[in-house]
Amino acid sequence: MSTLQELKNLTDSLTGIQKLVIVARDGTVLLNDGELSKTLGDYVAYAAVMVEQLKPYLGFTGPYHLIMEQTSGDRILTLLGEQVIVGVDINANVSPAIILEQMSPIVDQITI
Amino acid sequence: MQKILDELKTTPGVLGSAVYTNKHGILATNLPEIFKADIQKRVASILHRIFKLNETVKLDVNSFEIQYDEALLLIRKLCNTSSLIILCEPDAKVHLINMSVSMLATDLLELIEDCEQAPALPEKTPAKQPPADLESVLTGPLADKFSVMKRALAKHIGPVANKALKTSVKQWLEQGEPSVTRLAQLAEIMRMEIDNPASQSGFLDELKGVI
Repeated sequence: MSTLQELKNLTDSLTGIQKLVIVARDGTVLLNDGELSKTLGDYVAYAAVMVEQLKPYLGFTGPYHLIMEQTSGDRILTLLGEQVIVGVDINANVSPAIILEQMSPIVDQITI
Repeated sequence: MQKILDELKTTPGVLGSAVYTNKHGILATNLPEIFKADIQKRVASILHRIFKLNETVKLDVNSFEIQYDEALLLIRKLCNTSSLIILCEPDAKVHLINMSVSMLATDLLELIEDCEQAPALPEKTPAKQPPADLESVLTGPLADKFSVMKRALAKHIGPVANKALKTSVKQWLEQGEPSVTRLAQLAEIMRMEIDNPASQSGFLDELKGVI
């Protein structure tokens, strides 16, 4: 079991993360860090809901994460945990794979 | 447009792709046939909606990827009203595929403008509901047999074998009761999910002694 604060501490230790937002499955923003994180929270929650609507059509297991690329090259990572959805805005020069590798195990264990 | 998608399919890790527009639905596709036309349109419509949120949240997302166990979905915004959806193997090299897409995207966009008056692909009538409950049949006494058949199919069509099995069983149930004596008929239905005739024979050979 992990806490929101543990995830926040981890993201603080990782370089390249500009914004962090943690949203409950009902859309409630539980934690935000960085300018315009509320907007980011709304966006990742919406995207997660949209993508989960695909389940009955695709028949795949998951989804586990989304990586969205902006025109600027910055990326938004959305990690889908059992109870929370986590969004992070990362610099264009940071590998999303490294961030995902560090964050995914904690996101999966967060309970609220 | 179909030629461009076929060219994209030769990129390592790409299983197929489709071009979607708000106005016409799916304009061209070479996604595995397991994904019927109406399913493709529904999925693409949902995925394209994510781009529509850009203005509201003041972001400029122009592509995104979704990771599943069985596959990776890449979605590239072609213009405000159209998207390219690419189905890849789960461990596909995204950078390589993105390079191919970047080279082909401009050509696709030009063709989409040309296609504005063209009709979308005809939608197939959704299949009737199967007489027996699909999930209970899949997890019932024949589950072990289905598992073996799915593994054999996966050798030829990869990660979509799970979905292919379900669709095939559904079709199989529409033709009769689920029984061991009818497994050969199921194998015949599953065989049609494989494009290559040699692989189709190989699939049936692998099931000899099992069904």
